[in-house]
Amino acid sequence: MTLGYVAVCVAVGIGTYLFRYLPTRLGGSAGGRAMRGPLGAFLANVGVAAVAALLAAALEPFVEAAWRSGDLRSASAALVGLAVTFGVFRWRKGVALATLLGALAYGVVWWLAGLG
Amino acid sequence: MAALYPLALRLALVSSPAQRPRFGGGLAASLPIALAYFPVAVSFGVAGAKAGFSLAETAFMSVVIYAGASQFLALALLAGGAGPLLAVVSLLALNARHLLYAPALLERLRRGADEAYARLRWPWLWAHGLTDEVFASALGRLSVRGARWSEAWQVGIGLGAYLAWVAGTVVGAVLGGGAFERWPAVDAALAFLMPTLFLSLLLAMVERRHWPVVVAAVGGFALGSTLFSASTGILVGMVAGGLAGAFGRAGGAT
Repeated sequence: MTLGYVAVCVAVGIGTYLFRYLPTRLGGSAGGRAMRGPLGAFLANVGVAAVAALLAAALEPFVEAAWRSGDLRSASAALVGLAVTFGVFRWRKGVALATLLGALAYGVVWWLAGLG
Repeated sequence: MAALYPLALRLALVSSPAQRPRFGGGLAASLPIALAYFPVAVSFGVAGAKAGFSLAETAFMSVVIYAGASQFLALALLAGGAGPLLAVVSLLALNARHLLYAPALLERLRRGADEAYARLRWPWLWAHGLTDEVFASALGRLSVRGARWSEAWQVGIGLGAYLAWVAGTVVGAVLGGGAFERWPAVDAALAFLMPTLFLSLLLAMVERRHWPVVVAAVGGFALGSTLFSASTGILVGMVAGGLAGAFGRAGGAT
């Protein structure tokens, strides 16, 4: 393990920790005042926005690959995976099962379609 | 929303929503996240081995950074010979969205009039585990009217997810770069875990009034990633969605 590698990991690790920790110092009355009004309304919605943006980012490589290749089989596999995730979540109301079965469905369609 | 509570929430209810949850409840609530993290972490460990990193190097990154998307990016940057400064700046830019998680969580507590909000003692401890999925699960728990929260619960859910991530990384690194060469479909399914995880989390959080937030977030991501990069797109999407919620119909408590 080189010194450069350790330095990058430690710098990013400390920075990421501070991103997560420092905003908690807004707690208490000062933070309460700061979080009322438009800022509070913004923060109350940013969680859903974050997960939606992360979902878009996670799907982007699959969309781009299908677009570039023009191969609808990979897009179909992705659509089936997402549909199974949606269906299982509505059925069982569980994050883990929906996540795993959705990925499994994607892998099965990917294999059946001969994409390997 | 009542029909959409995540499994994490149900497992957390070793105590009822109205009781102050304990450390064990947090560990139980981490189970769905751990189940999803573990295979993703295995694929990270395998990717690290494929990129030429040792078991110690790959595990060290998971222990110290503990942020999945940026760790995959780190492998690509470092294996591609990017300079340390460029790597650090790029990875921190990707993780800057975490700045918004603790304030969003604390705002939910304040709106729920949970007195835990006013006397935080261990934020330095549970903040380390405030990843995308842990944040979303904590927010999901607090979506229940009258639900309580505690720092011990937050430490528990964070610790369970963290251990799964580190353990999965070690397993993947031990398996090595050729682990799934004979089973490319397994490799493909593992690669699709992140989209299904985020879709599940979104379904657990979203209500009808949030759709403008979702549309703005996806549009913001598309714009930011087209003009700049995917990590910039995530930040733009978060800000656009938050603004749409603040000034649009979704405006009030979430």
